[in-house]
Amino acid sequence: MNRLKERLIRLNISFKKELIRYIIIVLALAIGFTVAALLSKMWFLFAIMGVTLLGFTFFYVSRYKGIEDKRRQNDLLEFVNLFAFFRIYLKNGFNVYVALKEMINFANASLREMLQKLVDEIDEDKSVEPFIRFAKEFNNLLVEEMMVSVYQIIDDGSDSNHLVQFELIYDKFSETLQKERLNAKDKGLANLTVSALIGSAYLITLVTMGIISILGEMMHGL
Amino acid sequence: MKKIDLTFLISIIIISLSGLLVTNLFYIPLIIATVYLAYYFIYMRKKVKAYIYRVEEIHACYNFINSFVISLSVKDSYDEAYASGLRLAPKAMLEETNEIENMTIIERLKFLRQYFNLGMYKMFLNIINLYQEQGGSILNISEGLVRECTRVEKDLNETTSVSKRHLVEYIILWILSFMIVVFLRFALSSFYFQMLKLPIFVVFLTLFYLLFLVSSHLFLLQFTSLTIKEDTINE
Repeated sequence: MNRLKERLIRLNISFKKELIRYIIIVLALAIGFTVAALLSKMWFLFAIMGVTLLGFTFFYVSRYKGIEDKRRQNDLLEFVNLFAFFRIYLKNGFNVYVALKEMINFANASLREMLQKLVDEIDEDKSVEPFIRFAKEFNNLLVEEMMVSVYQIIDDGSDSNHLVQFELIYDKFSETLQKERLNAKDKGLANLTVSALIGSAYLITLVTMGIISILGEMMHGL
Repeated sequence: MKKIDLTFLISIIIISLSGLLVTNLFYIPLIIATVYLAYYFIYMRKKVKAYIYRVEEIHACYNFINSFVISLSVKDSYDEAYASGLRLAPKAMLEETNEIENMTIIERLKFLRQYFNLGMYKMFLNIINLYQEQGGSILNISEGLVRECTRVEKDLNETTSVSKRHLVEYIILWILSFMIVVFLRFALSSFYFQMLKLPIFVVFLTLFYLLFLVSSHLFLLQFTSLTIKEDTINE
């Protein structure tokens, strides 16, 4: 429960609101199934209700991880996007500090805040620490590597080997991320293509069940 | 969009007619057609339109920046570079540019930000600004940007190619699924009509159409998600 609460805080979602929403949906499902079971006198509907509620609870709770992963993935993409512009600024003779400041204009809401914090911290602290803290937000080793190389450019100037190092890490990172996204999309679409086979299996099962029940009735009638 | 509307309308009619064929009840195809049409006009159409617009916008932006930079470096003329940039522009964009012919080229470039709501275009404007202030070689200044545009274009092409491949597979497999039900209706007609007398069978048969709708919705979400970054300008 605590882990779930922590996750919701990280996602900026109100635990109370989510709980109320969950209770309303569960109550609606339970009432719907109970009414249907009582009216039709098909008591097995209670068993289906149990399975549905369990399935729904599992889906409801597990989707937060998906939301968090998606947000992290989006932040990483935004990071790649921004650092493409950062590289352009460096190539055109801007220093790291000015390039970082300029990037704020290109960032989305969540990264804009993080970048502003980074720029403010660089003003106060000239060590590598602000860069590491910024990178930690992404929970990705390549981002950390990139931010350290950005710090090293400050130390050695934008003509240094560290700029080349930064570019190599950036290219590798961007390529890996795109490959991952493309693979995920490929897999997602392939899984959905399988839904057509599930549809066919559903139809065949339905007709088979129908035939069996008719044959059963016929034999019973003999 | 008219072609797409027509394709979807024809598909919905065919699917609804298949509902009539397999259930023998006139109200089932009406329910199917109503639900599908509502889904298409309330949600799907907007989503498809936004996706097509986005893809077209990224391609157009890439073409515009590339042609503009190369032409500017060769001819050293903003007018010719602008004309060259527009050579491969989509119709909608050309219509917009016709209205701003009285502006200077730089003003026109800034105006085009309304059309290209992309970070790379904003960077392109910054680079043009830098070029105007400092001079030098436009090819050198914009080298990073052109490289970034090429990367985005390549990623977009990969994504759309994967999506299209799966779309074809998806359509073929679902056509086969629908053919199974129609085939069963004719091949096992005596059993089939007996089964249709059971209301639960008709309900489960109709659920097949719901399954198709849910599956299509999930496919649409996956199909229209771009793997390249959504670099919208933050004003």
